[in-house]
Amino acid sequence: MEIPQVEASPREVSGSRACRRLRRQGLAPAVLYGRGGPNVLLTLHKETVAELLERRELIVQVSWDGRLEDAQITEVQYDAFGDEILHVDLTRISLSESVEVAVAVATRGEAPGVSEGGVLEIVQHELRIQCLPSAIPEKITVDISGLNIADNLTVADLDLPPGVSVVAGGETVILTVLPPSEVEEEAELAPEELLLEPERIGAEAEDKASAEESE
Amino acid sequence: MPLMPKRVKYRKIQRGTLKGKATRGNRVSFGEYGLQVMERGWITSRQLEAGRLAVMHFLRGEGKLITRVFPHKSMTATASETRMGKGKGEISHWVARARPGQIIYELAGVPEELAVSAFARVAHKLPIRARFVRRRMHP
Repeated sequence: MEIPQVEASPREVSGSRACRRLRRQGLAPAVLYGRGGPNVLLTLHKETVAELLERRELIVQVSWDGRLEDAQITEVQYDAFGDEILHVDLTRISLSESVEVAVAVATRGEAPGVSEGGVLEIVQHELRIQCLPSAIPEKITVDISGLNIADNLTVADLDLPPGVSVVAGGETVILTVLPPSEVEEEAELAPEELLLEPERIGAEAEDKASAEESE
Repeated sequence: MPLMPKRVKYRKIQRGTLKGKATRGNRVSFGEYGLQVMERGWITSRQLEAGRLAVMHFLRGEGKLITRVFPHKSMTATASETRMGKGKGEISHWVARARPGQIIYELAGVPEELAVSAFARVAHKLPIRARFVRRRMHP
């Protein structure tokens, strides 16, 4: 596996105003930390980070000021709409030690339960796995050809590549086939139904207190 | 039966303000696709129900729809031909508060083209602008 190299520049400024100015220039503030090393404030190009995330290349070589370090993109902060990258966390890693990373879950085959009208619900869209940085699979493919309605597929049922372990317990449900949902007809509501009001919390206690006062 | 709380502490509440953007409930968390609002506003329980039914009818029971908001806020109205005064009106409906970025519905178990068409129908039933979003993976 070839590790992509990411050009970063050291950042001397910190704080919301300075970071906002950087973001306006198409840059994203980042921080590199971990493995007993110092915290280094960096700046990355937003586009570069977006491309890396699109390709799910989370293990990178960060270069700045002639230095080169292996790192993992561990957290990315977005704006309220999830469009703009606000900040990137990079964690130092060793290529000879295992890392924890999220990998997408993909399905293979067709579940008999789905053809009978059931709905395949993916409970875990991604799984956190532990493995060497060089052995990170692109996705974890699960075979659903044996799933009938109301059947579950758990972590214990997975056929994982060698050297890969899932962080979640074996009983964690990854996907399930739900019974088909029925289309409800819109019922006309009676006017008295529309006027229904919710119960008021503490109303009973208040009534009791007022009754005692009147006595 | 339209959505409304089972129990409340106060029956009638003031309008209040709806500042800022959604900092929670703004990511697709349960399904694969979502409908995200781009503006702020109140979504009534009838609009939420209309959206839900539009999806259910369009998908004919296929897939799973998740509603991410709930109408917690009561709205009151005075009866027509009523003179001024005599206190606050009676509860007329319930609304959910939505800030920009809030995911209103999520869909799972359907192909993307179907989800796009289903949410386009729902977006027409909402009082504020909304867009289709996909699930994003965490690093």
